[in-house]
Amino acid sequence: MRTDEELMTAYVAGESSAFRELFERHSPVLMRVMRHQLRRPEDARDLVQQTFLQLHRSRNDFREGAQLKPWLFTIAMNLKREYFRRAGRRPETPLELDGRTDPAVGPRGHEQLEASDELGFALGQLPEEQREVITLHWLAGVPLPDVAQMVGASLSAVKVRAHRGYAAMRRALGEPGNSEGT
Amino acid sequence: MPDVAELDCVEVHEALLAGRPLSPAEAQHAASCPICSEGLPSGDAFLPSAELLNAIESDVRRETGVVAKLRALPTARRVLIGIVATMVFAVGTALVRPRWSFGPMPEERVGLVLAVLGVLITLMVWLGLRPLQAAPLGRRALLASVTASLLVPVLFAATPPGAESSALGDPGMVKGIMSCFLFGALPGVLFVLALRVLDRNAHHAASAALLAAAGGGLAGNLALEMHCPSVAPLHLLLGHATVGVVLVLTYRALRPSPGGVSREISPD
Repeated sequence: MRTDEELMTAYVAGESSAFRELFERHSPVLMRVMRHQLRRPEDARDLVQQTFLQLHRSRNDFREGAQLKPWLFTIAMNLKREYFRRAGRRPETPLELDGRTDPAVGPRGHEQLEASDELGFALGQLPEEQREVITLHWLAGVPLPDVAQMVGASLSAVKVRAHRGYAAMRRALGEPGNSEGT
Repeated sequence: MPDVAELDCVEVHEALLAGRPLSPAEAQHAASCPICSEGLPSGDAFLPSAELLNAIESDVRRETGVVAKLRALPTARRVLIGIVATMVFAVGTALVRPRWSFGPMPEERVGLVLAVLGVLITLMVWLGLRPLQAAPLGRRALLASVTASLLVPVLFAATPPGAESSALGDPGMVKGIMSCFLFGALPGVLFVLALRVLDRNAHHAASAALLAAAGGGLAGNLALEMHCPSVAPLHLLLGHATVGVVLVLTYRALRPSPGGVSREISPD
């Protein structure tokens, strides 16, 4: 299987099917990240759409040796920040993550859905800076050094946000009755 | 929370991401922690539709024409084009009515003003065309850049060598101020438009729009420095230094009002 970077290089060289493969590989995680931060599913889809369009526009900046995933997620996070600014409001407490209202959600077991509800709610209660870091680290699977690069903060600052965010989530999940909020 | 081993989720997730086996302490934490026990969430929970892929491919197919080609150029080349275009706008405008006298203004001073404006314009083009895959520009850096762009022309206007005393009531003063303001506004507006064309996000980002407008003021002052021989601080302050301020305020007012995701790149 070709790496992300090989696919991007192939796309820059004119192989359009490589773009489709990159979409199939990364759009599920991007969609998950956006859905955890935006209330409306259509806005999440729009931002994923914009992210890939911007990836296309940026293709000639891609250089050998660069990693694609930090690129893609930095674009997504920048677009998300701009979305909130344009919407004229603070980042939202998301969302109906239970999969029963969103046709984009794949099939999952009932217990998993309940756990996801609680986790989504706990994540939604975090301050934006912590939520952004944890969304990238936990949901998107991006290592902390790359998260630091994406959010434009130092590694130590990002580690502090992650530690505090995870601790707050654990506290929230340990308190009975939190799932009622979902 | 009770029963969760005293270790943070960060270590557990970093270990999983790095593909290394969990230590006993990490494994104990992972088993008892409600976050880590979910493991790394699989990516298949939110499946993007084929409709979304079609919409993106449709967007990509529409990326034709001169503007699309300019935006797709490597960033270094876009920055170079932005700088060259600014010089062409400024010098071209000034050549229409070039400065006929330096009066008491030493040539060194004119050189200094042109050099400082040139450096600031380069900085504003570089920051304004910052690609989206780069980390966001910090608020302080943005504020410092825009403030410098607005204040440097004020500083030069307030301290001309051999300054003449003047008042708004002087004959021709208001007309001269208006004339110079409009003269400077032309390359300023062209600068904003050039950066908008070269910006891959078409100035949807507030920071890029702000940098472009502030940079437009610098481009206007560059042209005015090669055009206007006045050494009256009042004229320079009201006719020259205000170009950037007015451009920033105007562009801020004219840009689309807040309201959700840009429709420029939404599905058909």
